[in-house]
Amino acid sequence: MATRELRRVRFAASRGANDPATPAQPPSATRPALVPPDEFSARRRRRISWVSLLVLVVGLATTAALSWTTYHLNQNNEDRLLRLETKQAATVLSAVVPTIQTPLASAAGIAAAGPDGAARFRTYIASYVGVKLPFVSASLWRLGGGTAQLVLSVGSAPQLAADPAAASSFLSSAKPAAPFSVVGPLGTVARSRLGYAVAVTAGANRYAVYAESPLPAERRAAVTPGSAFSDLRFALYLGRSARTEMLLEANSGQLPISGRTAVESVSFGTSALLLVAAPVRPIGGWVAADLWWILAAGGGVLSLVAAATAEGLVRRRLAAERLTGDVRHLLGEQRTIAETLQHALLPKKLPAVPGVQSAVRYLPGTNGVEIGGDWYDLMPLDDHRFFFVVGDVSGRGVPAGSVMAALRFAIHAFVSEAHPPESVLESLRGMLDVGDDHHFATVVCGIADVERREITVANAGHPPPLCVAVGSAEFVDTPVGVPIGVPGQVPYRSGTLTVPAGATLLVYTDGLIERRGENLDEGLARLRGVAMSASALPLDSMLDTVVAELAQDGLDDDTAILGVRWLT
Amino acid sequence: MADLDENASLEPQFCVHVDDAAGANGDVVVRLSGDLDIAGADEARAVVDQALGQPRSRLTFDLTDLRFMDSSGIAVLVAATQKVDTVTLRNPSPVIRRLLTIAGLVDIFVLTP
Repeated sequence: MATRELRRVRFAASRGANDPATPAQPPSATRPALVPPDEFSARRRRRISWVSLLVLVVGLATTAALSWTTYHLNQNNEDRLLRLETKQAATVLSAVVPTIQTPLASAAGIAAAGPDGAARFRTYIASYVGVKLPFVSASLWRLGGGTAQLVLSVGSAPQLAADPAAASSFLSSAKPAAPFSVVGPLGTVARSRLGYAVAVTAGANRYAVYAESPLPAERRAAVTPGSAFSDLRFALYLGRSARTEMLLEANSGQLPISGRTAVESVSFGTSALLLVAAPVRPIGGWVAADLWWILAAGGGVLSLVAAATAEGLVRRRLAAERLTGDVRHLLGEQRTIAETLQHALLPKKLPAVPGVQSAVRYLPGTNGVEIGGDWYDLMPLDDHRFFFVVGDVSGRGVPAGSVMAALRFAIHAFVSEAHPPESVLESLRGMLDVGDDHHFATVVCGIADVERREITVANAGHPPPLCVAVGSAEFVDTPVGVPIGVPGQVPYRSGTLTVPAGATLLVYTDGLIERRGENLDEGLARLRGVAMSASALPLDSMLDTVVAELAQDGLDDDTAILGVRWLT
Repeated sequence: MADLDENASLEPQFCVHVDDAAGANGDVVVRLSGDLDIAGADEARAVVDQALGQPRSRLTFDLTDLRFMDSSGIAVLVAATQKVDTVTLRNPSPVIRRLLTIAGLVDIFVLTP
């Protein structure tokens, strides 16, 4: 009846712990117990980690450097391209010089050659004067005594003639050959002209050939698309400096030309043309011009993303570390609980038996955070006999522990009914079924007669006890049946043997002798050797020595070892 | 924790694998390798249960590559004996063979060779 009760208890415990549907305790539910709430939230409010800041700073610095370099490369490139374009435009300008120089020089030559020079001059120059021709006005002047007198003119009247003093001064200073002299701009801003003159000597007379070209109305240049000037804002000045009154033409209303500018000077007769140009749009293209801020924006965003990612990783790592700490703590707690439970299930103190001394060691395995299934027991039967048992339920945890408790109490019950060892094992058979419970138990038990130094041992799949006397150690070789929980028809049998005077019986679980990858015989031989060498020690020291020698690297599995020494 | 981790990295990985119709008589062969201990016992048991999903009279465990087995592992093998008539253990190492002998379990299996 007692057995039935116990079984029911065991199954209940077993189900609860094995049920995979049982929801695991959420970590958050345990956290407040481990970390005080305000401490926890204080940790959450922590500042941004230095790693993320470093990532951000490095990212932004790299972005800034890259951006700055790109910007300056583009600036330099734009400057270079502008100089090239301006130079190209200046080349186009300088091509204008011959179109003025050649007709003037030729006309001068014609005017000076012979008495009908004036008439021939008129005929010649007429083909250069008119709409879409180089000049709007051409004239021949006689020079002498610092004055200039108009001889004849072709086309419209020379603007220069409006101011005779200026005309005399300019024309008298004209050079007899190339380069031509330049005057201007003449007239109003709305309709102004540029004048050119060369001097020529014919016999005793000196003449000046003078021609005028129109400047664009309001001096606003009309630029044909695709020309050398189409990509430029420019202003063209006469002379070598950009003086407003010397502006010849410009395609920009805003003068002087500001911003990124390039300046080219082209000689123009005795004077020069000064071209000041600025780009209408980035010459290298918008992408090249905008690349620096695209890089800055992209790099900035990437830096922020990288920093945020780093911060996320850092926080996750910290969270993981906290969790590890919590888990470690929980494991420790679980181990403590397991040990407490284990101790509760095992005898607190071995009962005293006259004529023998007994001691026990129980070592939780290194992997053990769960309750183990090892147990031991010693029960006096009468004044000179006692029952001993050591068992080991396979597996770990509460199910194994509850099986162990059930078996232990059942054995107590059977022993109190004076069952012999093999009968005790036989009675346990039905209590456990490896197919249903997933556990089986190895048990070795026996009755020792202190006076007769006789032990009767029955074994259900358990490693053999070791009988140690001074200078000798023999395993108790009795018939071995299947472990409890394994079905079988072969009845358990016991063997009886006599132990030497002062012998020590060591009954243990397989954790003591088991090593991965090693034959159990080697473990048995090791135990035998150590026990024999410690046979002369007091019982407690002997057990300590055995445990210390066999558990040098820690024991994988839980281990129980019971020692009983005959005092006589 | 540290101990657990170190042990885990030293142990050969436990592995369980089912070969259908790989036995001498078309039996199911469950191949166990590495260390079969409490950590792998549930997985091994699940594989065996699955292999025995349809009624069979025989089951073979190939233990050629099984280095170590603890009592939880033994429980898996023993549990199988209750579901089929014959459980064959193929190529158990001397270590495993000795383990079964000491546990008094040799007679409930057929050991080959």
